[in-house]
Amino acid sequence: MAAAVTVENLSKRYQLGLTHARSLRDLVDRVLHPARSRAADALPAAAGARAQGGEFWALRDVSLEIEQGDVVGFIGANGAGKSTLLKILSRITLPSHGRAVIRGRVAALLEVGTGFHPELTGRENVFLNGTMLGMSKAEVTREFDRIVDFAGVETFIDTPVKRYSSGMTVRLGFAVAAHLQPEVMIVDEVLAVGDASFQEKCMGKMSELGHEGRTILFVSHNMAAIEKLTRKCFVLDGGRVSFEGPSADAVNHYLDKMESSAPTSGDVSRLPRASWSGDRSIEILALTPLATQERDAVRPLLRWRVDVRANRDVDDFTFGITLEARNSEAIGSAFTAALGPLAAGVSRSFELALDDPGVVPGRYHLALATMRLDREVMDVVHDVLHFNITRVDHLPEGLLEWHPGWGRICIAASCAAMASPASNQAS
Amino acid sequence: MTAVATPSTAAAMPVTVIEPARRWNGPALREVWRYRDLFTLLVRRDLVARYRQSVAGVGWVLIRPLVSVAIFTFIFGRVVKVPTDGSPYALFAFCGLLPWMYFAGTVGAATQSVTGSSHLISKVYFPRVILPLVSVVTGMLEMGIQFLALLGLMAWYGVGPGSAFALAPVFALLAGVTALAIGLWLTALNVKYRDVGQAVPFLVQAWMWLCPIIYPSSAIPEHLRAIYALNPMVGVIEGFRWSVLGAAAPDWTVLAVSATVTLLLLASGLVYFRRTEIRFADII
Repeated sequence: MAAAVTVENLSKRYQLGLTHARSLRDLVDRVLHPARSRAADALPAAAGARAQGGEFWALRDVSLEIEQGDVVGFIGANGAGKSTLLKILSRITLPSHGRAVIRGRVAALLEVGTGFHPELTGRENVFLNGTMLGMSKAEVTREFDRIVDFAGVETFIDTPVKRYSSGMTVRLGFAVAAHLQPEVMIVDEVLAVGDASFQEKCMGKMSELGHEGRTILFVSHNMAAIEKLTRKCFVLDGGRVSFEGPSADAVNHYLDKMESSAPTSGDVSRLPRASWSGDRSIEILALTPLATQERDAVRPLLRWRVDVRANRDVDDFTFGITLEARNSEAIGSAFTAALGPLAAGVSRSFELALDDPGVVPGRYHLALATMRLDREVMDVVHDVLHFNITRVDHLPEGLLEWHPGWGRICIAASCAAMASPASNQAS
Repeated sequence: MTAVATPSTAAAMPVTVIEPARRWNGPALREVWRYRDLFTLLVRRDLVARYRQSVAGVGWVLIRPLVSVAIFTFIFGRVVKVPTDGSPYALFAFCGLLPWMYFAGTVGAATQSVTGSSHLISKVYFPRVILPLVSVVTGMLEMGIQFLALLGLMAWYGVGPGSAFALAPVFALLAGVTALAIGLWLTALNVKYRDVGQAVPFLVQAWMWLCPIIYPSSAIPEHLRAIYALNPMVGVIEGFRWSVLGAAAPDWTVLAVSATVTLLLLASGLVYFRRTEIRFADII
């Protein structure tokens, strides 16, 4: 059977003088301040080479083939070319060179709820959005009840969308896309929105679509989602495919590369913060590991020193620590006791230690936040203090390897034989 | 776009081929037809968004021309006493204003149609030409309502329809084609040069005085009329007024010149639009 998607030597060149002002400014910024922008969005050092002679190659000689029914992921740093590739495959922009052939109906979901108009009701927007994504009116009518049901907005379906909560809007938008029934589906980073339970629902729907034999191209920065959903991944780097293979390997390849370029301890004050990461009333300046990070050396899993500075008077605060697996899936979190007031301008150092929850061999890192007592985040650094666990403490006897499907924590259990079986109670 | 979806007989599945831009890919009529449902829903969206939360609602469609007609009738009909080839001034002015207001509104809306939808352009594919087309059709519906008001005003003045009344829709349609022709040019230009969006309201205002709206085209010296008719709206307005009021037969040279200019603008506008739309998503 012919491949669902065939891409041959696809390249996309942007003429610098003609691009959108913002992207141009970004570009100049990257070229002039390579160090800062590398920290800011981890754009590969190739940026300079990609922007020569007033041209910028967002994509260069990309060739790949995706079989029908494959669920594949695309990973890479910001600016690696993922979005450009997806935009070409969804026909939003044309390539400069090369060719792509897609067999089957295509639906591209680069955003949830594209074209939603606030004055229109939920019903009207479902039709507008559905036809925009390539459905006919009749198809939307046929799927309408299922869409509304999936989004869970029955009561508000004839209310203008401007009165919806943002969560409802996102749910409705994804519900439309989930019922497109295309042969090839292109999905870009849509799981970054919505609450956790809805994200779970979306993941479920997407793997369901995958099992139905639809071809799915999935872009995400969420490595856990990529690993859960896809079997195969392409890693893009500097506009080229740098790795192609099973998702777990691809994620490792990508993370290896990211780790070598970003500091995970020391001065972290210039690490990029997520947009929601708070007002930095107490800013995290530096991290220093204190103990060896192997569990057989010391009882705590990890010990480190953190330097903070108050930028404003703060009455009381606490540290929040999240232990994360290599793909940034959260394992668990810990919070310190209240640490008292801190006056503006004062710097402090603290020693923090994290107990061992019994994590299994693998690579881990932390996210560390300063929080008010109501857990409102003041500052947070992600993906810091990487460490390795090489063996499991109370591994059952005779077991040599920990199977990934068993989870990330080895839990101690006990079992004792009881005096008599309870089976005769039934009679 | 070069991408074409054609049913493949082997797998019975549409095959999309994506390639670099060619110089000319045809007018994309089949693509527009494939997206006809989106087209009608966008028209509906524009109408709903415009009138749903306004007190007078659709009333605005009538308030605007009626107030203008009243003012023109007072100043140019009563005070200045502009000749009207025999019709009551209010009817004379309304017949000119009706296609003109449609044209002016549509050109303005079309010019902003693509830049105002940049969030769509960068996130989803559909034939871009749908956007200015939507403006053309949305305005048509408003013009239809205004036309009913015109008929009411004619009854009030006791003026019957002219002998060529059946041609009125043809000239209304010609107004639509003219608006589309100009709209395609300005829409595509506006994506590249935002100055266009700034200039259009002023341009349209100045343009109005070059059209026989408050004065009859018979006021233009005869040897200049062919040049006057290079303004495509001259033919549209003259023809519309003649078909509705049946007063003075139009100058056929004027009609022919205007219609030719319209068709030339439409063809060139379509070519220009199709050639620039390839890069809309990159430069918007």
